[in-house]
Amino acid sequence: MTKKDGFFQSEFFHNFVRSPGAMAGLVVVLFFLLMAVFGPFFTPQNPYDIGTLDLMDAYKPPVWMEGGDPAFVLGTDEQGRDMLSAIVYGSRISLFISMIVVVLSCIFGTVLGLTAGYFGGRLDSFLMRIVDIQLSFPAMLVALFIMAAFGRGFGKLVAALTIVGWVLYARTVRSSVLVEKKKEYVDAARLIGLSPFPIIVRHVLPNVLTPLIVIATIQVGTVILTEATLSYLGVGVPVTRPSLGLLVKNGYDVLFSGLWWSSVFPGMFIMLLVFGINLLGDFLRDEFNPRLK
Amino acid sequence: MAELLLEVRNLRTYFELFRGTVKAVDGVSFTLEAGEILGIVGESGGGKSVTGFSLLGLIDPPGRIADGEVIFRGEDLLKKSAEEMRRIRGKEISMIFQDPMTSLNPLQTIGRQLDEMLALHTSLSASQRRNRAVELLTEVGIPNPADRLENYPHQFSGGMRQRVVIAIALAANPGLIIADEPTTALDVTVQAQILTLMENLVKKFGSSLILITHDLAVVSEMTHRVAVMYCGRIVEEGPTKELIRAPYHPYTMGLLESIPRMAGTRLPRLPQIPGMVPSLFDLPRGCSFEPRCPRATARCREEIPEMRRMTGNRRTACHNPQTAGKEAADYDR
Amino acid sequence: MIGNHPRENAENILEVRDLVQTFSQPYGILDRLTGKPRKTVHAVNGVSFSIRRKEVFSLVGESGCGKSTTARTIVRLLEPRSGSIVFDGEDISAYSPTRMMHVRKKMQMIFQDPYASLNPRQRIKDIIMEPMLFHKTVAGKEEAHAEMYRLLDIVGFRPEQAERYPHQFSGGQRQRIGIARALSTNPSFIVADEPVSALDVSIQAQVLNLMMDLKDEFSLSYLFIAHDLSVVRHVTERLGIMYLGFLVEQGDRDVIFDTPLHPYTRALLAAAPTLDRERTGDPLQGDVPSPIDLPPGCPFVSRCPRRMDVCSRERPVLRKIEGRFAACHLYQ
Repeated sequence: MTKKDGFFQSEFFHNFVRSPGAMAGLVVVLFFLLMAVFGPFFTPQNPYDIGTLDLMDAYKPPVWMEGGDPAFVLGTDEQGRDMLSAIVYGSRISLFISMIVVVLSCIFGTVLGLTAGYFGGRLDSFLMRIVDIQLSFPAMLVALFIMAAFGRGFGKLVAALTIVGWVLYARTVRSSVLVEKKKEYVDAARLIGLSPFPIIVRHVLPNVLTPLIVIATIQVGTVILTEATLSYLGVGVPVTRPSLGLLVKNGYDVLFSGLWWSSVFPGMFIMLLVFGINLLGDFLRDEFNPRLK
Repeated sequence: MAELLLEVRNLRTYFELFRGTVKAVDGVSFTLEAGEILGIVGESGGGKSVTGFSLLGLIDPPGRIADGEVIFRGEDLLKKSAEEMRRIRGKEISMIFQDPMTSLNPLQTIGRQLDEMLALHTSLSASQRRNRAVELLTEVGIPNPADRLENYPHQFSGGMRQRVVIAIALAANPGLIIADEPTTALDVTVQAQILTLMENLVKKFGSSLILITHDLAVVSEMTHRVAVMYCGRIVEEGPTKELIRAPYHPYTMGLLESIPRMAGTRLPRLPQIPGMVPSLFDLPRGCSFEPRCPRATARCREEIPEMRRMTGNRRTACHNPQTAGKEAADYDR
Repeated sequence: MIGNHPRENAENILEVRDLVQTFSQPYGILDRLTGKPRKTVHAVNGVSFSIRRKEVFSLVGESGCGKSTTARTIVRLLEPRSGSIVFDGEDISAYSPTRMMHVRKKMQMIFQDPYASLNPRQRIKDIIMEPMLFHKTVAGKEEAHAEMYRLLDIVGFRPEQAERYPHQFSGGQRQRIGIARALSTNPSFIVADEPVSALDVSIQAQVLNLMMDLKDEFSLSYLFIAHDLSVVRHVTERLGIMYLGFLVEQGDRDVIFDTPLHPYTRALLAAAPTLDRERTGDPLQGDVPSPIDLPPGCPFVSRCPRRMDVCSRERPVLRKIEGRFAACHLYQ
């Protein structure tokens, strides 16, 4: 075994920096994170501050086109909002929502998955039937239904997306728990006399985390897309604080009149962000895959 | 004096891993005659399985065959193209793996798998192949062979499955069979059946067998000659009975000593080889066994011992072998 | 089964009587509706034996014979279907988890698979300290650390290795860590479930020697489960041979190894590959039958080279013959 012990000497790190996909994904994600955190200090305008908007600026094309204005590098939308600023703020919303959703659904799904997997029996059957039922509906439909029934709002959106999202974690965790449960270190823990709760938390949980990390990473991208779609359909984020998806929708109305930039740019950014996340997630998945002995 | 079926010269198979290079097989040479049963024995990490895979060219990256020649029926297999090797595998050289659960395709009937082997390597017609499949199943002792052709692997017990695997290996009548721990996953009584079966079939079909195993007892019952491997090198080689009765190499001696016996005086403590097998990433500079060897000298620490001929057709790689092959029973008790 | 057991006495750390263990095959609503018969796996069928203090007793047999299931039932990892388990004078077969607590520290287990028996995410020191901290067999954290280092030293590790994780050790080393864990609460009885089956021969010897040394030093009793008869011969004082959930022969080591009576015992001894002799031809034929549909007579009847008519009708009972117990019509 290697004498060097730090993270930066590990095989994981070594493979990471040598993987074009992983590095590209990391760059993209870091870019978005930095943009989300520091962007507002650098944008030309705050697109949520109605006072700074001027309807006269509406529908200005990007700077390199005929009629473009250097103040609005990527053009403006129908309300005169600078696209670049809107995208920066929109990315914050998209990322913020998806991260919260992923954390919540991960926690909820993991708890249920652990319980179902460890205790088995009727509890397991019951929980898995709920999972099956829920999975037989398209996620979008479930979210739509919830949002349509309960109205718009951040909290309701996050709740809807969490309800849609937890099943994946529960399923994955349950499979892992079933595998770990058979291993003798779990028997050893039972033999000590530990009750189920400490066994699950101290012994089983740490060993089922790996696939969770992979899934959670990729899910950030999936939730962004789902939220974008919901917003596009008009049941997502409130109009006052548009996410990237809502920006796409707002620009869609005029897309075919040739005023493409207010829809296409946000769309491209969504695509870029999700692509970066997927690259990272793919690398993690391959890396954590138990390979040679 | 039978002709040499196989001659392996200075085979080296290395694995380039993140933590370093593993020299899984590091200069292995041996020969095999037609009709002979050779045992390759060693503990985990000794290189015996990798040797078997190297003979058939079944080494995937990050492993590579770095050096050596594998001369089978006069031709060097390592120089053959992928296409040529595909033709040789199954037809001239066959392999039996340890786990019958995973070496059979669970989604195909065994009749189909036998048929595939026969279709690939013989020119029999479909009905001829079917008859041959039934014959083969009978040879390996499966009752109701014609019916069982339609069965799937999971419908057989472990021992039966291994018999099927043997039948498939023998289907094209290969000259050489390589068996990698063929009975390790089986119960003791089933193991005895399978070993007897293999011995009889090998004699009947006139093929040679390389039996790779960690179990010295199995080797002692079945093989004509045996090669003992440690950390990628052969440390001793010779006729089985002689080698076991009076080994030259201290590692062989240590192994034999540490095996509890079924008969004879019981010792209060099993003699054990001190220390541990070194990490393959960090082998000693000289003889790999030196740190644990009761007969180690200063030279052993510096110089890797070469294989040299002792009496008769026994060879060992040791600077300080037990003289005249000390009897295993007398050693330091 | 009267008169076949050693008297219940204080010399015995463990007395198992008529232990039965079964598993139901998955059986759902659809099966009930279609009238499918409920299938049960009869894993352990009325097994009885005793283990004296400071004794090594082995249960031997091939896969599916029920030896591991018996061991796991004895330590209450599985609930016994019926039968009694008297440990250190108490019948623990129906103890609740709370009542089991004080028993648990006296009775521990060593497992077969060195790669699955240690939590990959726990450091060695925590693995060893966990039982003693839970049972409070030590006064506090400091004493736990001291005790942990002491145990590590006994099984041959250096103190700095306590900070490492299992994956940094070899199979044999992990097995020794498992032994240290088993000793954590100072037990008097250890069940060793195939402790060396997954190890190389030279490591096997090390671990076996360690176990025997510990037995003397700590006055331990072992229930040793194994399929390798040569290993069993080296460590055990008495043994029982199991087949299809039944004990077919039981007695002192030398008596059984030198003069086996039951045809299965003989087949087992003959089949074991050894260095000392040529293989005798004629290995035992056939496969182990299914434990789901037990034959009415002797479980071994389908493969027994010496079967008689009575064997398929009537199940033989363990009787004392020639200094050991055997269940065979040949001797009744």
